[in-house]
Amino acid sequence: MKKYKAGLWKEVKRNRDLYLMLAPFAILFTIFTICSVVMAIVLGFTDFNMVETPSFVGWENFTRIFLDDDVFLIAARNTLIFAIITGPVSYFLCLFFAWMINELPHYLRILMTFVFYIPSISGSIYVVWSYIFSGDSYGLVNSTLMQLGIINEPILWLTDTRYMLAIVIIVQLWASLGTSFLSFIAGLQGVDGALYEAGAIDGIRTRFQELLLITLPSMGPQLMFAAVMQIGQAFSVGAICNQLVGFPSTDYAAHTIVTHINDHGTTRFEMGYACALATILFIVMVLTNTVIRKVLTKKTNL
Amino acid sequence: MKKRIRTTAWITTVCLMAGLCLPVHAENQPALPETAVEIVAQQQVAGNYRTYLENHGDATYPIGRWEFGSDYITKASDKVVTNGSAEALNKEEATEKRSPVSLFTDNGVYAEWTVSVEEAGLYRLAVVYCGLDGKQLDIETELTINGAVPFGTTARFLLPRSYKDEGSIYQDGLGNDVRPMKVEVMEWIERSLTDKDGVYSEPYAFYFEKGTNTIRLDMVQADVAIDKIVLYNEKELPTYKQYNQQNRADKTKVNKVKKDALHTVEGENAYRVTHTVLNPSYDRQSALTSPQDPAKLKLNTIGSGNWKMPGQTITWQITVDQPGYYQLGMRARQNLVRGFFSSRNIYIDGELLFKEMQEVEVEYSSGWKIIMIGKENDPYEIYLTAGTHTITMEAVGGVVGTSVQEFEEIIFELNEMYRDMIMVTGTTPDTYRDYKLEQEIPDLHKRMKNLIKRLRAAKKKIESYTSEGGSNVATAEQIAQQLESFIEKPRSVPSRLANFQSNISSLSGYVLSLKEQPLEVDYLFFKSPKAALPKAEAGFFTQIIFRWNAFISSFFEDYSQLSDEDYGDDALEVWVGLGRDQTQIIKDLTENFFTPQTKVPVNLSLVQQGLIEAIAAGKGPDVMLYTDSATPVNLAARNQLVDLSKMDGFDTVKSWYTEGIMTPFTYNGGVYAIPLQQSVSMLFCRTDILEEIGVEVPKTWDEFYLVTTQIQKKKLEVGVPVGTAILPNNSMFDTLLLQNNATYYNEDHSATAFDTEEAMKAFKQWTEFYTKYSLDVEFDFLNRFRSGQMPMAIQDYMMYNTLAVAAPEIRGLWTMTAMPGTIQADGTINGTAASTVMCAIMLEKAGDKKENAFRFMQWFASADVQTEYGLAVENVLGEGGRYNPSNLEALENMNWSNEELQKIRQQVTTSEFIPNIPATYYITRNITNAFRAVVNKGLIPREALNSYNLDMNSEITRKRIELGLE
Repeated sequence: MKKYKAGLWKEVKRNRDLYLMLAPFAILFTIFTICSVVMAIVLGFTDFNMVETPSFVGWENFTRIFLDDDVFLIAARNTLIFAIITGPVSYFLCLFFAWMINELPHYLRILMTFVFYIPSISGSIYVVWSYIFSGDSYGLVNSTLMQLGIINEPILWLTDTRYMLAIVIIVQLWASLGTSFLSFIAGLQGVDGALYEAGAIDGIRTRFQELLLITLPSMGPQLMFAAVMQIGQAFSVGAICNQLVGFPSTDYAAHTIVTHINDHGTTRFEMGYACALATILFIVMVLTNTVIRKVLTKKTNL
Repeated sequence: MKKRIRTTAWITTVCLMAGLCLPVHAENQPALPETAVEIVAQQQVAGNYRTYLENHGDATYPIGRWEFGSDYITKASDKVVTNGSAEALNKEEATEKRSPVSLFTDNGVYAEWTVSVEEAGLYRLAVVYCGLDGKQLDIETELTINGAVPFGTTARFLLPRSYKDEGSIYQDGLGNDVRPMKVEVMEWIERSLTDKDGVYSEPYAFYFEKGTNTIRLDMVQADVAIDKIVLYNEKELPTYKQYNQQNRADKTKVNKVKKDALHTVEGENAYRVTHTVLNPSYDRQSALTSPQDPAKLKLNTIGSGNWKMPGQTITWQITVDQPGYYQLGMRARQNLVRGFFSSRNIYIDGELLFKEMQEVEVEYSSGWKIIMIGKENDPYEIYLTAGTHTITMEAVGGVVGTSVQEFEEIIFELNEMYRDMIMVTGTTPDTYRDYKLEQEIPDLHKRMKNLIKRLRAAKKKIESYTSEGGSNVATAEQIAQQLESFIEKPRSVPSRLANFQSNISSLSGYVLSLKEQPLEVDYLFFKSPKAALPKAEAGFFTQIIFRWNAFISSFFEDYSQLSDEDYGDDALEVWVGLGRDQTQIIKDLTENFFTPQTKVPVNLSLVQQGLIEAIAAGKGPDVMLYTDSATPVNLAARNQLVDLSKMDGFDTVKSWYTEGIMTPFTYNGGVYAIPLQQSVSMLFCRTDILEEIGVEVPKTWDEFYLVTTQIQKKKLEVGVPVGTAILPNNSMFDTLLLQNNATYYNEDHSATAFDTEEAMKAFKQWTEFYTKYSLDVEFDFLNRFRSGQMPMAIQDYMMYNTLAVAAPEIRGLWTMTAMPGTIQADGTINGTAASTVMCAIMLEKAGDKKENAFRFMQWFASADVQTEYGLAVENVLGEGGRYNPSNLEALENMNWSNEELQKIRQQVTTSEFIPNIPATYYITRNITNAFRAVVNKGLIPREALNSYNLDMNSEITRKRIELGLE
């Protein structure tokens, strides 16, 4: 054991320039990610109101989450719906669009890449959706539907529990064509042209076969990267909800775990409870991540 | 019969053809449609003035000047001192004592002068007056001549006051420039009665009979001493050519100007201004703006963005060393109204020297320009004696004035027509139905055709003034084309009404911008005709070096730091939750008054978010100003706040406010905040439309419902706000609850009181607005109110200013009144309204600085400081940014006219408050949920409130256990 330790130190010393280059990120990552995750887990076992000293309460927060919090169940259900719909759907949409766009001539491709990537670089531009779905009778959807004679009274899209979740999902899908899309484009560009030629000789007949047998297997890293990003995104839907349907939404109809965490952490002064929620979300995300990785590793040449 | 129709058709066609063929004619004498004009004419003084002049078309303008002092006053209110000795003016600035003068120190008083006129005719009317130490409001007066208002309706005139800087611009501890305060100067001012919107740049002319006439002035905004009123007509001004010839012919006017003479005055060092908004401003762009510094903030210009309303006047003093002929110039820019010019009347030593000094135009330009007054390459040569002279520049409406007025009339009529149409179709018309609009509204097509003609004429006129204004005025053409196709395809009208309305509102936005006459001045100068022109812009490299230095120094200068020096731990740490402008004002006040008086240093910071996080990190402030009303109880329940009710002098503070205002800040018997700002909702009505419908402004809810149904019968709307999805607003529920003498919680705040009959009634009443009366839940008040689609709505009283600024075409057609009330068992009306309050808190962290911290809070919340602060904020932000203090005495000092002030005071002093508890967040969200369950899903109000009530009570109990209250 001791020998191994000494060996490690020697190893570090030998490659010190590499470790030095790693240091800036490593330090920041430790302070702002690892430390905060650990702190959140620890605080999850306390009663902490943000301004006074926390007191240890054991598993109380967790038992309350699972046994005595109706809103958590709604939030968990919504988060799952989001994760299932926006996660995979958006992932395959990204892939599909990337594949389509990759077929375009050079300049058109650059233009289309830009168009599809805009929603995610433009930050909070999704607030335009609150105009589109405004409850005012002059809101875009309302006025169109009223002119067509489909409805007579304006629908309060963003406060009526029947429509809220669907609208947030649509907006989320629109906004999620981001990093993964870009990495797919990069991945598609990186596939060796010779492989296609070889494939054609070996008897690949359709573009779809080409995609399945050559393109995707050679895009392993990109697929993996995009999947990890997508999971993170799908589970942490929150900001868009707050901006569109209010915080909290009517009857928590669009409440997700992240909004639930915000609710407890900020408005209710229950940081301990919020941390417990965050811990659960963290665990779920790590688990999903592991599963997805396993699946993808099997399917691609990673 | 048939023949008659045919004849009528022919005549109409011929008339129309004539109208179309002679657009120039239409321009000069706009043919106004009868019906609409009557309404416009009732309201718009300027429009009436035109007819007034036409009626007196053959009257002469007798030349001369006749003055009438206080001894001509034959009748006056008791409160008017008609033989005052101007002792009140005998302060150091009082220029001269005049006696006797008449003193008006109360709003609503009047005086009547009896004057004899030798020759019947049209006379200009001027007043020689002196503003008394009053508010920062213009003096406002209503004129009556021989018992009648001159143009058939009330005519109000503004007499601006005179201000100067108290001291000159000085530097704070960081070396940045600080604006001095403005003080009113007591001096005699002679001013003619002119159009307050600058539609006519010339003073109004009034008709007087030969013999005895009476002139009566009713003071709307008083605090003024009047020396005399003057009837006059001046000889026509000479042209520059005549002026120059006269000068040259006069041998006594010697020319000793040195060849290179250049006498400048910095724009920011104004001698007099008429409005306190005319403050020095910064220009950090150009290296040549003087004075300039790459690192420090220099106040180096005047008028940026705030010298734009007609009537705003700035005066400078320049001393020239030799008598002779000088050219007048300035370094200035007009970079705000693209494609247009700003107009100024320029007075030298208080006089318009020649015609060309009227309506001097400054073209749009993105950068600075040296503007020489006069023809290009040949600036006017003005004769000056050696010594000090004044240059006065007054913003005037210029040639655009009449166009603005024409556009405003058009917009008013467009809105009226839109309203007439939706009265037939409703706001959500059935597209597949033919409403036969032209039969329902008989003169509709006639009105449309007329408007098309007028829109095009007005557009053409505007375009003739400017080379590049075309794109902005395109909306006018768009509306004209839309009207044309309305006539062609009447059945398409209902489906296009919404678009029509949005075009109207964008046209009114454009017209609003036309009125503005912005100009920013760096410096003015008199130069010898032979001297070289100063440079307008720095050379490319100078500019690059300047910008580079500014960029580099931005790393070292902290412009967000507001306090000069770090006083260390002794200083009070104060955070302000507002914008930078407001924080700067608080800082100025603190440093000028609080710290010198008390020797308590204060560190001010602008912090809008993160209070809780800062407290958690131990970095919180001692005092936080302007936080929302839920924070005090939340923090107090977690032992972070100081109980202010235990501080010395709290009872005095409490007496400054309306009773019960401490309710939201009270927790377990302690009071944890003092209120600063308070807003309350009131009822806004379009009086013209209510009159047309034949109903009165409602005073109770029963009346409100009646009026609502009457309005809805006309297919118009009524607005009661509940906020948006993101910002729900339950204040109407609170109001109804309080009017029913109920509240949110039981005696010891351990449970809600929503199971009472009163609460159920209030909740039902609230939801019925939207279920039974089908009011819109979300609406855009401003546009619907100005178009008249929504002639009645409940809104925060601060909306008054927004309307006053943004909807000039309906001025005088609407009113703000008290919230409708609920009739009580004893027959009285309870018209209370729920208020929202912003407050100041003191944190436990203050420790042994508590005494000082409370002194600071007390000082800041006091009437004097709140007044100073409020007026300063309005100075910077303009009329739309008027402050709404909780302090009742300070509220009186805000720039409200007396009539409005009384209504607001009434509403504010009768307002009541909902307490806060640590679980408030849960209560409000569930009230919103219950409301939406009723309105969206159709639940029965009683059941909805009951079911959410259970939830609320269990959360309250949970919170109480968490905080150790149970």
